[in-house]
Amino acid sequence: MDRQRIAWLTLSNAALVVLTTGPALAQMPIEVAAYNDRPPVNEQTIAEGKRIYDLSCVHCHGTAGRGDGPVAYFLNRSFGPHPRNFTDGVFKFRSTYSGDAPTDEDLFRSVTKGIPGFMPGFNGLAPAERWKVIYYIKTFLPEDLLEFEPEVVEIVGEPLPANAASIRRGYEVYQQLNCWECHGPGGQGDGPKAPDLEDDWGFPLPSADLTRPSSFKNGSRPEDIYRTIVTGLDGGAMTSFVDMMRGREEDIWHLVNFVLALSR
Amino acid sequence: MKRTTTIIVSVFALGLVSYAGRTVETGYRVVDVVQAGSITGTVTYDGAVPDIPTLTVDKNVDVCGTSIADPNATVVNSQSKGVRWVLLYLEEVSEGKAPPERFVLDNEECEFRPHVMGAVAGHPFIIENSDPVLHNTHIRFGSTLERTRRTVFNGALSFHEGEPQYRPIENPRVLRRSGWIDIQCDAHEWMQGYGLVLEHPYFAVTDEHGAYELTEVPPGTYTLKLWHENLGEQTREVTVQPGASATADFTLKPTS
Amino acid sequence: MWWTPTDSRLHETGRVRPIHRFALQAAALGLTTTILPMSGFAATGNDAGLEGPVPAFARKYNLSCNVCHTREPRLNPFGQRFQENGYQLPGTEDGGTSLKTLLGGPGPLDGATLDEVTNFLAARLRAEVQQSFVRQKTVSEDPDFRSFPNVVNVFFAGSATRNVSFYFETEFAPPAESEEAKVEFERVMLILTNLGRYQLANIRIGKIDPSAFFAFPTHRQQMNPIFPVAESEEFPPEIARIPVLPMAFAAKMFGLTRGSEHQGEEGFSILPFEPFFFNAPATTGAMLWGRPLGELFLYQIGVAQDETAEDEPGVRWDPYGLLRFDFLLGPYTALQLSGFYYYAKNAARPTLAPMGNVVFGEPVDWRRWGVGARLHYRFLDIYGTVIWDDIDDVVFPGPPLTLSEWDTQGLGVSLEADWVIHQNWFLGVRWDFMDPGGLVKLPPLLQGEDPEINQDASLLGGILKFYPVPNVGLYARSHFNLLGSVQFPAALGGDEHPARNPTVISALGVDMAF
Repeated sequence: MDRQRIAWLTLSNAALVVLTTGPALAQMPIEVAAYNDRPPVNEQTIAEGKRIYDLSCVHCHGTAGRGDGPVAYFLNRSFGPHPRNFTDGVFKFRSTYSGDAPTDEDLFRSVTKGIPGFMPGFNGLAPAERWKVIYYIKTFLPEDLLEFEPEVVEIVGEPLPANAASIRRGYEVYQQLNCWECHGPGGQGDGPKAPDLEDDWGFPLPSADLTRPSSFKNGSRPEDIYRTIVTGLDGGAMTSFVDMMRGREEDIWHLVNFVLALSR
Repeated sequence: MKRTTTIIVSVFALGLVSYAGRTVETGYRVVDVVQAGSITGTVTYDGAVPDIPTLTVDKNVDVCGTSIADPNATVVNSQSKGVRWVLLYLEEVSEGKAPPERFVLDNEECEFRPHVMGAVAGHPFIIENSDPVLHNTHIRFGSTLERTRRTVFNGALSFHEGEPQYRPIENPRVLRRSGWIDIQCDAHEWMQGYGLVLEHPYFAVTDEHGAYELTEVPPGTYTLKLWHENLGEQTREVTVQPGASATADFTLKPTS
Repeated sequence: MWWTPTDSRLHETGRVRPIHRFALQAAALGLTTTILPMSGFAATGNDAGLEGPVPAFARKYNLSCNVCHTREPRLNPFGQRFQENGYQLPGTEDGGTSLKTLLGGPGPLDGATLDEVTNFLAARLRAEVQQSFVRQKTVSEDPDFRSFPNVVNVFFAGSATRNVSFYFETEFAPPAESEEAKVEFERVMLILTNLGRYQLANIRIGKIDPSAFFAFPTHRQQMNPIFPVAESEEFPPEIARIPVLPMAFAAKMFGLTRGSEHQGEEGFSILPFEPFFFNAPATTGAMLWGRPLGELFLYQIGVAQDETAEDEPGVRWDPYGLLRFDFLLGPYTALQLSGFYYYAKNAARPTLAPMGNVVFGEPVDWRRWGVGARLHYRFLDIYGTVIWDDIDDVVFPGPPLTLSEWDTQGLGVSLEADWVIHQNWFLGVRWDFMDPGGLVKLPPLLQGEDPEINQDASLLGGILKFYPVPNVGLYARSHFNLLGSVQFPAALGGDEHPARNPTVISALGVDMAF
């Protein structure tokens, strides 16, 4: 058998790995200025948004924004989540109150970062292009949602040091808020209610496994987890705790510490 | 059609130009009702009084009890045969009495109270929790059956246990638009409520004897509609004479 | 047992397979169907129901396989766009550097990268174990027993910068009965994308698959080839078993060789049933493609390098071109139509071997053109192609060989319908038909009253595949010969015609990708 040849191939493949990953391993800052670099909303930018949408988004979200592109049918057919139907006006990843539209910045975050496991991050598009595609996507939203200005849920306070006391308190809050009913006693997404969860579209929806933060679709920074807890994920099962926890924001930060501790 | 278009355009323009007070402009105009009449009646059941199944409760039994009457059952008074929780409403009213300021839904003894409610679009929706347990109200627009329901509110409620933090939720979003709403509690799966959001306040829900009353109705001819979650819908033309009370009684038959 | 050889000649020649051979095969099969899938489970954790990201690009982008595939290896419309775009999702071209930015970070948009190689570089290890069973009218060899594993294939692909991508694929085939183990570069290419203007022009150079953008691409088959058993060093070739692959791709010409210079080499005789030209698995060359007018229309032009069949062989460059139209028809529906043309000058020589002496005719030019269509609706993926082949008129130096009869045209059809029944189940049906050209009849002296040589071939096949986890598929497939028995002319061996000899070709196998 040709051992030399196999050895050579193995070596060359290994070399290729090293050569091509060096720069990629560096920290990649993403432009913060992108938020401010917004083109105006007008017919022209919306038309350009449509061009980009037809290139990058239409395969899943469909020509009319109804989440029915040719690829969509193959995505998790028997369970959720599915590509969003924008005309329903229900959005999971918001910084706003339950029932509100997402802000443009929320949409920008989703387009830029994608949704781990489900949607690629379109950071190859220039920020202005991303804004334009958002302008176009917003033309799909139902009118009653658009005319109702979304209200952002304030993030009160800052992340607390993740010391033992904080995590212990977070565990108490986890119990008190019945998080375990869906996410499970150990956070593995195996709570007693998890098998029966459904999204608004009637598809079974797996409960998030909190021991795997890379699967957090709404972000895995403390602020992201705080945001997810207070805003909930409309259309899915995750409820909004902003009203209940008003005045107890420190407890949310403790809960955040506990959730993050689950994966360490 | 033209009127609807005008409404949509003006609503959209208003929404764009002035966003004030988080209220929604509707096509309904509040006026002093001159020579107001009313519509009254009862809804009775033509059939054997149905039993109300009892559901076993295995969560928060200290508050909810160990069993609860099925909120989805048809409630018929055994003496008067009156049907409770029937919603009656006029189809289209362009002007009339002032609607209530706010609409309140309470979570009490692990039930929604009221079980069926009407509401007027553009008004605050108050969600209260009278139970010392965690309730999680989940309100969706649209129909469960047609799979068109969409979340408009999904939130956990504070509760009496920690008294200082307790407060009802005053939600400006639930009554954003007119249509049916479906109310559930994600913490207690048996809890179920229904609501109809209208642009005008001419609606009523029958009491335990099946009686209802629509007050301060401007004289005229209306389409009166009836809805019951299990017994279906009915429609009737009703003419309200100035200053008089019109009667519209209904009989509901069991669905096979 | 229907796959047991029934030909009495085998017994006479003492080539009866001892019983322990069957036991060995059964054991190997047991291994393939139990232990390997279990190792698949182990490798993918508990993601079975979740469609956890698995090999290659799905892992690189942290996406479900179904974002790009109907069922691996078929690409859905978005996967096709991804492939066209140099293995970068349209709208995510960043040279592969910031793809794996985790959500979050210090600022609203800042993020940390995940330092895993596979998130920057798509890597995949694919292995396939296949046991095929053949029932032929006459059996001139043992039913092919592929050793363990059948094929191991590794590829690396990624982007060096925003406009430069690479693809590097090697394949290891273990020793078969008649062949040594082989390690080959399956495809190696450098891809330059979005030159000049976005979507205007893209280039691939290297060992490439010219049919990559066609409705029925050579490399993306739900039914992987079941390999032929044939000797192509000599003329006429000895075809013990035809391969099972889309017949539209095949050379479709009897009686051709690659010219005198290649005599004695493998591949000297052109096998009518093997993929060829535009539809060859890989050819050295370059191609240029783009979508200058937007999403509707794609153009592709290219050249493929080979050797001429002239007496003094030289390098020839075959030009080819393809047009494709894509339509998004509505909810969950997409349609595409494509057509190509391929021209090869002096590509082959008509060859005859009267009394064992090989005689060559004049080199012939070869033209191939085909049309393909694909309809994608919900869980259905229906696609097919018709490919025509046309060679120059055949000229031999003198009688009696000029009296041989030739058909300069061949036609092949392959139609397939795939249905993803369920997350875990897949069903595919394929019909292959070939009306070959080339040698029709030897000179009357040799042929006599024997039937024509370029007999039609037609196979109807189906595959049922079960995926216990998304990256491991267990399959069973069968292909039935729809046409009856025909004898080859006595001058060519007088045995069963190779296209008519098999009655059923079946296979069991496991396909794994990590």
